[in-house]
Amino acid sequence: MIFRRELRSHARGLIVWSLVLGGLGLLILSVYPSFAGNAQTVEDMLNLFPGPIAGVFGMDVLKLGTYAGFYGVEVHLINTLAGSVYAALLAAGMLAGEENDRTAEFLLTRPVTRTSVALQKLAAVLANLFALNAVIAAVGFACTGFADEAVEFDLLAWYMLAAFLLHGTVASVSFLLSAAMRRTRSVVSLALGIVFLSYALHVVAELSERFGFLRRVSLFSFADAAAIAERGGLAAPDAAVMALVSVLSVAGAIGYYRIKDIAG
Amino acid sequence: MAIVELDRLTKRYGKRRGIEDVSFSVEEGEIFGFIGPNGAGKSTTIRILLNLIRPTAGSARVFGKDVVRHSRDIRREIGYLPAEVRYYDDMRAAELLRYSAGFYGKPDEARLRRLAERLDLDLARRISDLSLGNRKKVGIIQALLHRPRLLILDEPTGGLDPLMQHAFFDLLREERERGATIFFSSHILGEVQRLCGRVAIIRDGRLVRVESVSKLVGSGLKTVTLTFAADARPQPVRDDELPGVVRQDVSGHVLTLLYAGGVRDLLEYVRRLPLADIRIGEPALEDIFMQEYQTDEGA
Repeated sequence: MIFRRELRSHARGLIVWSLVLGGLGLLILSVYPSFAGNAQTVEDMLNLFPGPIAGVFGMDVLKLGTYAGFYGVEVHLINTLAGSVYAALLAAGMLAGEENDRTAEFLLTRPVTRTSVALQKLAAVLANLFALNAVIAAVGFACTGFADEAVEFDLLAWYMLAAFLLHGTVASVSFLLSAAMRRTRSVVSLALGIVFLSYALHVVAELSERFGFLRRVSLFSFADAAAIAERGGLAAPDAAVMALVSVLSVAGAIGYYRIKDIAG
Repeated sequence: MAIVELDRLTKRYGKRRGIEDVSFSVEEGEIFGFIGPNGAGKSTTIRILLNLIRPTAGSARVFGKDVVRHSRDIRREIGYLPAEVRYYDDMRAAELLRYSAGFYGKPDEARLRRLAERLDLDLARRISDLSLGNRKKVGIIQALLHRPRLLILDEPTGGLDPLMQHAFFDLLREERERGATIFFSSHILGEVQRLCGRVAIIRDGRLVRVESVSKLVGSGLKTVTLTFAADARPQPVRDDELPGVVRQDVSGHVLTLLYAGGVRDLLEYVRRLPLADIRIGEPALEDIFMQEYQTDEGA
């Protein structure tokens, strides 16, 4: 019941975000052949970037002349950042939105447990994130047609999995805030704040070795394309941290929501 | 069997007052009124019964089950009309009602249409386009649709015009005949009086008393408004002339009495006065409270 209603009421947003992110990916990846054609020129040009700046975008490790490298630098960044904003916005409204709009009183007086309400809403969030990431992945794989060389499909798949995990983690944290707070606007501000702060920490960590330790606390460092390329996959500890943060956030959200006093 | 049972129920919100030590019970098949001024704790009590908020101390049972532990089972057989009706603005009235009904099983379309007809509600309208009164109608139908065993109505008549109130009260009587128990909060005594058998009176978060309506009103307290002729001046009533006057007020040509004595004495007394008009009505809730306090102090 609630799951279906949430899917329907968020369908429009999902379509818009899918079109924007899918379209943007398509647009950027369609430029790849001209990059690949002039690989040497491009490399020379990029060498003009100061090292640290290139590091922020992972260009010190990733090769723009390969499809996976190009995807990692150009498309993966947009997917992780914009996708996280989508995840934060989507999850922020889920529980707090009902209290904010005073519809919680209707919903929670139906014969349904609060755990079920929270789980159904969470399932709707995950279904939406899955759909958005499926579109992203479809575009990423379809555009390999632009590449002449043998594409590193496994690396591409790791990027996509990392992006999905990142989105899921951001959504879980935002969902916890949504359970704990009453005003949608405050939840949205705080959740977006966490996303941008986390991204800022990642940038700082890449800019200066002195702040390299910040990689350990930024979700964006966990899903960083350069790090994935270096290791040839998502590091198990990073994936574990994201999974743990997600599980704890969701458990906290449900635990708190079960006993929360609903504002009248 | 007691359908609703409160046992020293208490809810404190930090410094804000909630309710303190409220105990009473509602029997099966009753129409039970819950009256008190705004902010007395009526909604707080009701929201605890529905598990929207948790009690600080004490307990409450509905259908013999604890409201915190068996909330979902209890809610399956409750129809609830909140004081302030708010629904999803993007839905149409029919969609909202079917969504709601879906939680209880298969929607009874015939009953849905019949209720909408009785209350004169256009089901095709969007919730966001409905007036306050029409939203209230959606709320009433939503509460009645699944034939609940217990109806909890929080200030149900606010926003309804008199004609609709009438239709609504008829529906409630039918629900009672069907066997439903009705728990009904209001700050207007007259409303409760028309429908309820017993009432609980709450004030400042504490239960004042539980009483049958006939006894409460039949205690004889009346408001008597005497309008004197233009050339006469109202004189205060002396106790030896007419015993039983609880309070009196003179304002211009109008003398208002809060009267607890016999009707014959009253008529005998007013017969001699140069009156232009007379009105005998029910006392305001506040007046009843006032008398409660005086009785308490006297005891």
